Amino acid sequence: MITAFTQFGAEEAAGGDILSTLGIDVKLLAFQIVAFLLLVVVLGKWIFPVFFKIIDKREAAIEASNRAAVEASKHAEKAKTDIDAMLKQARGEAKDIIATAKEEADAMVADAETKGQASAERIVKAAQDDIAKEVESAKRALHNETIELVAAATEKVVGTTVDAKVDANVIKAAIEDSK
Amino acid sequence: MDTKISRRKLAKYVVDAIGNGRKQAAILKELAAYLVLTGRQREAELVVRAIEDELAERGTVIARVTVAHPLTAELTNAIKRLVDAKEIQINETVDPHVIGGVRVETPGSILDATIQRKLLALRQVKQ
Repeated sequence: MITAFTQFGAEEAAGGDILSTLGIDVKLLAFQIVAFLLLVVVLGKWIFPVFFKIIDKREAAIEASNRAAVEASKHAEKAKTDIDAMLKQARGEAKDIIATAKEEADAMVADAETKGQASAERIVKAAQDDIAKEVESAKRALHNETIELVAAATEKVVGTTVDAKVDANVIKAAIEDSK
Repeated sequence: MDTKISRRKLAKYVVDAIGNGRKQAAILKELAAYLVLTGRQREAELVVRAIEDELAERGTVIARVTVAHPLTAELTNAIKRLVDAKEIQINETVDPHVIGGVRVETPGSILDATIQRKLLALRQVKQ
């Protein structure tokens, strides 16, 4: 660097052209400028529009995708809200159904218990009535059999023990009683 | 024979005939013939009852006495006193089935004091 400045200072001191002093070839510079301009024109006319078109297209696609994503997000959000509402409603309905089912089940159980109780009471009462009837019937049968036995025994005993003399006394007593 | 003579009239006829001194056997034959002729044999028992009733109305009581052993004179007199009528005729039936005691049946009343009857009454207590 120090060398370059030193050279530049020497050349300036020699009184040469500035551009030459700077080592710039004017012709080459002009050519380069023209080439650059041509390049700019070519790029601006054929190359950049293609890129811009592609970029615009991509941008439009991205925007559309964004919009679609936003829309989908909105739809998703709405769907989520709807689903939440439906779930809430469903949970409420399920709760109601469960409560109703539980009430009905309780009512059915209570009804079954009541019916069962009544049925059991009826059966017990019928059984008690039957037993009472059986007991009464047995008592009656025993009573009747006892009477029959007593009558039969009396008939046998009296039939063999009542002779004419005893019979005469019986007849006298009967006549006395009937007066 | 179109007119049916009532049992009461027949009884009166028979009792009148007996009262007039006719033989009882002849009167009974005549009565039996009449009943057979008129087809009223089934009424024989009822006619006899009517005759007994008619006799009772005229002071003669026929007492049907059923006993297990033959009646003694003492018992016969006791029964006659029990019946309390101007004239009493006792028709005695000995039936061992009555076991003991006496059954006195007169027109209008029955005294059943037999042991058989008492046993029957006992059996009727059955439920």
